[in-house]
Amino acid sequence: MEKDQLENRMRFAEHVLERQGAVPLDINQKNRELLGQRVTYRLGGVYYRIDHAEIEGKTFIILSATESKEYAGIGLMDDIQAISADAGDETIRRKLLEAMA
Amino acid sequence: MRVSFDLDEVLFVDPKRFETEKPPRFPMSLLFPERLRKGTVDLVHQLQKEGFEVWVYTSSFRSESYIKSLFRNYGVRFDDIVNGFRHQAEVQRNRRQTLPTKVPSHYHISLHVDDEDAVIRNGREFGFKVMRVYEPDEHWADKILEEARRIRAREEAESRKA
Repeated sequence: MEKDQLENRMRFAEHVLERQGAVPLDINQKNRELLGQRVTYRLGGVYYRIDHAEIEGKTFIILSATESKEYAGIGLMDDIQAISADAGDETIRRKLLEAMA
Repeated sequence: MRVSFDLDEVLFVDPKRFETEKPPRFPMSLLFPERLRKGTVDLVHQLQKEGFEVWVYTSSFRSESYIKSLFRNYGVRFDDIVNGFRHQAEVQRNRRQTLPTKVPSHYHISLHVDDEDAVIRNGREFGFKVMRVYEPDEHWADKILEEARRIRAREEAESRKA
């Protein structure tokens, strides 16, 4: 998948979080600058972040989460959902909502 | 009545030594490398069907989101989850005395299933019931169900007397 296509899909995934009421936070600055980690969101008591991973030659959008404010602040989160990056909008939305339920 | 389970060495086991549930499909099998002891899914479902609340009580610091997501891949939904963070915030709190890593009675859990000797000993000292599960045992689930039913029957008999 092309870089800008992947960025588009990850941005869509972040938009799904925002539509649920997730709020972007200004935390984890160090890892955002050094490692390119994306913005962290908070929804209810849970912190979420969208990422991507290449697994066995296939690209996946990864949803990570933690309930710990300290861990979220240093980018330490658990991967809880993996969605094929070439999935359609509805599949991405459904799988994200399923993971956040 | 509440029944809780530890995770490591109780529900999460080494597939080289134990029979395990079929792992989730790729790529979730990589995201969630822990393997469930065979019989876990049916046991949790049966306990819930019989009206027990089924909790996880782990001293690990796996996030609640991770634990929920892992088990969701197996079609299991726990009634509640206590992890290391929650135990620290709700049980240990600011106490000077270091409490055991698990105090199921704090959450009104009537039976906790664990592998550790220390938890069994703490159960005797702090007044909570623990059932030990640690070796491969094809009847492990039946034994837990039987013990849960026995405790519930006793609790119901005691509350009728009161």
